[in-house]
Amino acid sequence: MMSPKHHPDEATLLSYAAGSLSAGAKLLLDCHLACCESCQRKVAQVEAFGGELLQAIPSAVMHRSIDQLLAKLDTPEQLQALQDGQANVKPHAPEWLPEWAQQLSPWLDHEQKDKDLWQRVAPGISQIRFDHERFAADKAVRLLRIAPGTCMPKHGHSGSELTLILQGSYSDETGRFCAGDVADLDPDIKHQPIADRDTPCICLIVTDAPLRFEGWIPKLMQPFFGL
Amino acid sequence: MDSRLTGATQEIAAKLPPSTESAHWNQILTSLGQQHDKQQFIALYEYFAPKVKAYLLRFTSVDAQAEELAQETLLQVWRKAHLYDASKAAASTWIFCLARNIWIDLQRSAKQRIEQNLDFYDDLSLLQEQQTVQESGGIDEPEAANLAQRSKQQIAELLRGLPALQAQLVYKSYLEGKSHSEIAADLEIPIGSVKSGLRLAFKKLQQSLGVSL
Ligand SMILES: [Zn+2]
Repeated sequence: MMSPKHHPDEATLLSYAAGSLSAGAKLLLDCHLACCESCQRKVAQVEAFGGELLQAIPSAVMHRSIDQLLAKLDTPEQLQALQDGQANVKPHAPEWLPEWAQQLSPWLDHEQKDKDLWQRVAPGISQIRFDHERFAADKAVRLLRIAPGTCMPKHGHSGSELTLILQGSYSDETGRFCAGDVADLDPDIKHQPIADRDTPCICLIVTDAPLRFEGWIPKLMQPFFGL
Repeated sequence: MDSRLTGATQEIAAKLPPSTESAHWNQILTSLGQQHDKQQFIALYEYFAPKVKAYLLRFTSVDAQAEELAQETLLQVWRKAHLYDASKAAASTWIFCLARNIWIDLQRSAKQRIEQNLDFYDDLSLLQEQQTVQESGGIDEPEAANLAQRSKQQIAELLRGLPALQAQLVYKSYLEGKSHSEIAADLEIPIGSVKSGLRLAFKKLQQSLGVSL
């Protein structure tokens, strides 16, 4: 397994374990966790708190009988067939999508050619937006492809921003981010990412919908691609 | 911000259910994965389905929906038991994750905000009473206390070691399903404060639960 250098905030890992992240943020974390043992361990630790809560919670009364459910239980043979079936499903995905980020595959339009998926937003920068209603609670979920050496404008955010690098790398004031790394930015952080020179940098970016505090931090800049 | 809890700053005591009970369920779930025995499944169902339903009732007030999803969760227990690894998680944790994921998958669009049955303050007023009792010397839990009441106390107990704000943040995350920005809006504090509070809570939960894994 790879060992990413930059990880989500522990507050984000806790919310992942609690099941309270927005759909976009959860998707991003699913991908990072698939390649990061260190975060898997941390999530397991706070999931254990969920287990404690489950044991502590007042038991509700079940109205239906268990018989209906028992009648639905798969036989051992059916269970075996289920397992075999799952092992054989290999989603076809674009070559730039790493193995550990296959969870993104269902959200890509496989009918389209790769070059048609990407929508140009500025010189050297193109994007794929995930506009499914599932992501309605996120302000935006998008893949960004940044040409080698491209310098993004300096920007801040009115909400928090999660970035996961899928391919290539970029650097900003907070460090160098490579495949598997996550930048988990608080709203008050300004940064200016620059894609490194060798390959295009492809990343998944999830921005949080700010609710009441939209005006709380002055908008430092309205980024040109509408973050 | 509720200031009634400011006295509760001690570390979370590891209020785990008796480890033998935990080990018992871990064992049953492990052997269910190997043998697919219906009697073992029934035992797990009878213990966990009412708890899963109660957990889901935090997010939906539709009783029939919570019940259906609890049954769906237990159906997945049957289907996925072979994936359970007792060295990695307690049975209760593994089942919590199944229930959590089923609920997440159901949310198609923006979170369905259905009226919740219980809220933080219900559970916390209880915590307050408990603390008052304990500060005055402590009493034995009455034998006759009903299960629901005891369980409710346990939730409060689990959150006891956290300072008030952190307890509230953890509660809202696990039992109200709220994201950082939703909590920020609820409590009228900046997202940065939600994150820093949850970061501190993470450390405390890690310390208190790490030993039980
Ligand atoms: Zn990580």
